[in-house]
Amino acid sequence: MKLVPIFAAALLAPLFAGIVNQTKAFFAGRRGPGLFRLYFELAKLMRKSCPRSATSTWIFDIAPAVSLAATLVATAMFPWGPGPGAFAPACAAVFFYLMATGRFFTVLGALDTGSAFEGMGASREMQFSALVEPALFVILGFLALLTGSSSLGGMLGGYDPSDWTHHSVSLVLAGVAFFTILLCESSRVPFDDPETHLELTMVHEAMVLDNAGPDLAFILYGAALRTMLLAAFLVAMLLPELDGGEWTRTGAIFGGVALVALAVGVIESIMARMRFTKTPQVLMATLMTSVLATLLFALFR
Amino acid sequence: MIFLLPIAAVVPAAAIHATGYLAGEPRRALLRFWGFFLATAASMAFVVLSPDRLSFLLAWEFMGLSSAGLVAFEHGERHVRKATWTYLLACHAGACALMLAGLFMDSAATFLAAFFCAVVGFGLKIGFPPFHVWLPEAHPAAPAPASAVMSGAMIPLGFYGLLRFFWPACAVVPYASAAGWTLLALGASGAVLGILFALPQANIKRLLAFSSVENMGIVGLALGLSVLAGVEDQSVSRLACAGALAHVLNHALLKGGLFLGAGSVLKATGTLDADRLGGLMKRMPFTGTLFTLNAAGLAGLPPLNGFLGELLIYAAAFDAAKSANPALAVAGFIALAALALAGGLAAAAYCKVVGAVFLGEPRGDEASAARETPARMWLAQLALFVLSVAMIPGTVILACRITSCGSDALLLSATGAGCAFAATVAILVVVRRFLCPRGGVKPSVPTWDCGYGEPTARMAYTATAFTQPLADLFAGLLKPRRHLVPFRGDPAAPTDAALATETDDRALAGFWRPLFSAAARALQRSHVIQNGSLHLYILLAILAVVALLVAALVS
Repeated sequence: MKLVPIFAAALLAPLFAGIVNQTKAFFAGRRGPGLFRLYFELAKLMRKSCPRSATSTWIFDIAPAVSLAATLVATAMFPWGPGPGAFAPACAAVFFYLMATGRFFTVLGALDTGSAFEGMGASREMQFSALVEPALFVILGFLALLTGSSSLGGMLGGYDPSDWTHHSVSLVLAGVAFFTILLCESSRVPFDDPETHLELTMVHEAMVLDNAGPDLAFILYGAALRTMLLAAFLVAMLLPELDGGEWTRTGAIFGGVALVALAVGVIESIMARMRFTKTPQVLMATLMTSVLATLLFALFR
Repeated sequence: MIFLLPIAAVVPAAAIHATGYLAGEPRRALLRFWGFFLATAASMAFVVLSPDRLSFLLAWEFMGLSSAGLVAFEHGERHVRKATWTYLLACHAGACALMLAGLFMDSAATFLAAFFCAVVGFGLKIGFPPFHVWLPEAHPAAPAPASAVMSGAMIPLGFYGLLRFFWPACAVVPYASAAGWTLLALGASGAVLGILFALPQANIKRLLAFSSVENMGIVGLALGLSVLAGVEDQSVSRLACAGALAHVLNHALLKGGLFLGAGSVLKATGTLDADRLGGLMKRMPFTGTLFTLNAAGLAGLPPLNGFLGELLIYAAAFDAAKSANPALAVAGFIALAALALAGGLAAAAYCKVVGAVFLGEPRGDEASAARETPARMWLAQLALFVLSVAMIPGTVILACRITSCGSDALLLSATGAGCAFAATVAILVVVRRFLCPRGGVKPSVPTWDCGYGEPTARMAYTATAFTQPLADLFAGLLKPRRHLVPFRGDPAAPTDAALATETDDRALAGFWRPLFSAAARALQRSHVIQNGSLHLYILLAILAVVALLVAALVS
């Protein structure tokens, strides 16, 4: 039964992208491409061939597969239900370092083409991710403090509901910080713009300019799944222990993920992308927010 | 005994690599190299096996001197002589501090003085900032196999010394928290500053040297956490200690492999400047593949073994962060943030090296003319990499011994996830091959690059460009020197422009040079008694003997 939510997550990931895009279309007064657009897109890409640059090497060949595999294993590790996910009792560091492995190879794949645009995207991706890490791990430390557990399943398995009333400020601050990290790690506005790849905004989209066919399908699907996984992480860390049957928590996580998708769409509609040089400042502010959340929690415990 | 393993692994691999690396050198130079190499290896082993303090110090000094002979291998070059001089100074200053530590360490009252002297003495070998000055000078100057041995097996012996002489005392003496915080602060600053200075370096071996500062910082951080947790929480303490030892092993194998790879690149192209290389993966497939895998391992990425050591430290830091003791919790959070930042920056640094040196198109004639090295050179690299993969179960067993099986569930779950990851990658690669059967897998077209025509190597991102955003962000700390030749003349047809940046070691210019020149000024006065006249010296010696005799008689 534990496998059901994992497969559901893997199947529903393209829908997450659909919700974001449909929200954006609503705000722009367009009809939008429909919720299921990415499914058709993936099916089309799977039938195409994958031409490959003569400059590239085996790294370019395996980079999309490595990136997707890392996200898939992380999905399996995620505690979708009340109990822990696969490979319990996993440390939260394994979860995020797997994603880092995916990023390492995506960046190398981009550098493998020898293209200036892709090099630019790769350089920026590494800059953002290096600055995100401290904030992310401070939040994880906060979760360890909140739940009294240092495994991934324990950290996301829900905290004592009375903490919500005592520590709501800390929880909201941590939630805001993690939401900012989600936007940055999944290359959304205001850090990156998933709709352009040939402007000076480009980060993630620029890295995959030379990928086509099934490779591109792996990348698009992996990106959707990663965003959804981070959204699920945000929901699970904010959810207290729930009463009710076995599926209550799973249902709540999936419902929350849909709300996060709406929020991402709204932010993308009402905000412009930030200037590139402002990004480090925002990420520093995120680190400070997560430190503040921890301090407030520790002071009022 | 754990510290013997890196010596036993890295020394033979480096020796095999050296037979290829030094091919073509004159007989005398070879004799000198092997003499010093064997002396270094033997003295390193003797440091670990030495039965008492005196023999430890003797072996320690001998290790420093013989490895200085290795650094001075190409003594015809000015920068090599300078590096050797810096290294010798660091060795002797370290030995002096260790002798002082030996004087103080027997009494509990002077325990802290002894500990700080030992931290300076061993820190000069380990490379805690600001004692790391010799690393980025000596490693690029020494031949690659010597760098591999020094970085992989010799530097961690500083930790061996600290553990051997101070570990039992740290747990009982009430000064444990001072000792723990010292190690934690030095380790955290070493981890972050080391990798920050590594990032903008264009010289591959200089980058690797700074990255050694980072890795030793991580080990110091873990040991500091372990000492701090020691009294309160045995399980956290043991977890952190296991992580530190595992990281020493992983660093030895992986960094040894990386230095050997850098040596092969130098041998094949004649340069270590990442901005002039590129496209070596096609020309040197074995060296390139092994270098990439080693780099991924050292960046701490699962499923490779480099991750397991860091995982143990992370787990200890999480446990410390949720502890009820506020000091330990703060230490845990500092460790988490420092490890995370260092990890993110290390991934960026290794992406830069691999990307600039091995991927893309060659940026110069040196790189385009490169050929794969003789088999024994990359086989030495392969041996170290295979050993590091084989150490995955070894790490589990080691950690289990130290933590009395408190960590096996954690490590087994991580190894399980790693295996699942490797299997998924294999499945997806096969699926992809099946989906694009013809034309797809063979490289056939030029890089598309949004239709900008066939991009030349001049258009590709260089190593310096890759890390420029991060280097600019931390410019206040790194203080890079820029040499800019701006556009001149008619704006419509400008002349060539050029930009070069160099990031020097700030500790040398900002701390050691002022210190040494101040010391030289202060010691000017002592020239009164050192004026070159033999009579005065004899008089002073006789006076000293008389004074000692009087002192002996009086007491």
